[in-house]
Amino acid sequence: MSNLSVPLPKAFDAKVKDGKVYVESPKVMCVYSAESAYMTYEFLSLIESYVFDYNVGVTISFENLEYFSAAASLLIFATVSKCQIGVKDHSKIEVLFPKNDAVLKLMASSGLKLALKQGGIAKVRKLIDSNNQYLSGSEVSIENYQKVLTATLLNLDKHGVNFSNTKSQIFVKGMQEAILNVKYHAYNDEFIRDFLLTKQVKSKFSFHEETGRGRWWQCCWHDVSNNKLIFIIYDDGEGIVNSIKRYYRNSPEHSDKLNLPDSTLLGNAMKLGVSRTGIKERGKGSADIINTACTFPSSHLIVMSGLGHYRHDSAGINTTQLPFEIKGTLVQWVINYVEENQDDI
Amino acid sequence: MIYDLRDFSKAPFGRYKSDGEFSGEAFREILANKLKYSQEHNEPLIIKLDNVYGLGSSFLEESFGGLVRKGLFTKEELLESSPRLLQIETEFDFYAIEIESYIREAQS
Repeated sequence: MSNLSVPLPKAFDAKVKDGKVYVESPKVMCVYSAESAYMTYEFLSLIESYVFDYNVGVTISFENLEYFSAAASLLIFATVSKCQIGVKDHSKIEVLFPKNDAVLKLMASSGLKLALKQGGIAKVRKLIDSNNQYLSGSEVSIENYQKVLTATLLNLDKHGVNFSNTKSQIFVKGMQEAILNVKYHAYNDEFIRDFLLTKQVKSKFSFHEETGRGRWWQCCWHDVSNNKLIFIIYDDGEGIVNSIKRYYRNSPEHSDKLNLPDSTLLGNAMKLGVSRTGIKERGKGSADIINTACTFPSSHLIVMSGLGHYRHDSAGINTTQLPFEIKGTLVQWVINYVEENQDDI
Repeated sequence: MIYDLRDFSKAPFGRYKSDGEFSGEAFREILANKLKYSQEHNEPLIIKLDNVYGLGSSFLEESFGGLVRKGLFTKEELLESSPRLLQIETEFDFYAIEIESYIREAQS
């Protein structure tokens, strides 16, 4: 094992230790600031590469972690659980938790610690039964939309997020369309076929076939001090931007659009009625995703895909280029639920 | 006739049957049968929407817009007959507006 031919970047204190590759997380894991986003993403990509490209066991240390953001925590859950699901021997993936008491406490109280503990698909599915804040679903009936939605609503209720009937409907509408987007954009048949043709079957996507297609990861993050609910959905598939690029590449009349920046492509994709399929009745879901944030006062929506960053709030729409490329798509709603309660009185 | 969507599913989801058991496409089949019965008996079909968690646009478009797109009913039959064949019962006005717009926009 010590002769393993794997990259061992010093930035993550990577070394071969106790028969596995040992890697140390950055002290700050966050995707909102350019500074930490790059290291966060590099770290998570490295873990995935060890497991799926090099087929080696990994000890993932968060012992020196001092801060993690909501979106980063979901990416951590997605990456670690994906690796855990992807290996047959669960002992190949070991997680060391933070030494910092406050960080560990946050990890435990948010449900992330439970979500990262050793185990495979059975562990991930058990998170649904316990209405955890961190959940993963797929098209398989025991972890499908209906199961995950119920667990999500029970979790929100447990944390005192009491939406009015109208706003509960709007929230579920947005969540539903975001999950449907995972199926349509992330793991469409063309993408899976092309991926499996060009990569080894041992690739990270083979586990999607084995444990459930259309997998997504989500978390409800309760920012109690600011009275905000942060609800995030992530998939590691093709992503909205790459899915649109694929459509443009196959449609000569759109070839000029391939030169547009990802932020523009993402902004266009979020417009009502725009669908890569070109089918008239499709492309309605983006309105639901937008309305979920924009119906609530002091709330906003962020979508990240490829190099594109899209933000929609009461002030309007802002699209920018990310300094790093995000695989798949991340949709984040930040909802001020205190104003919601006041509205209901 | 009254049909509560809850009897189809508390959590309808998706557009096509390939999206899951409780998709718009699956609901449209039930809807079409009930509409046909109501039409034959010259009575409205009242769909109650409020006892489900939430309804995505994809589900609604495929269920209701699909009735016209698939040539099962005309817009006029659904919305302009007397008594009006398809009636939506909901406290959430946006659902009724959305459904009507999908039917009117749909092309057979």
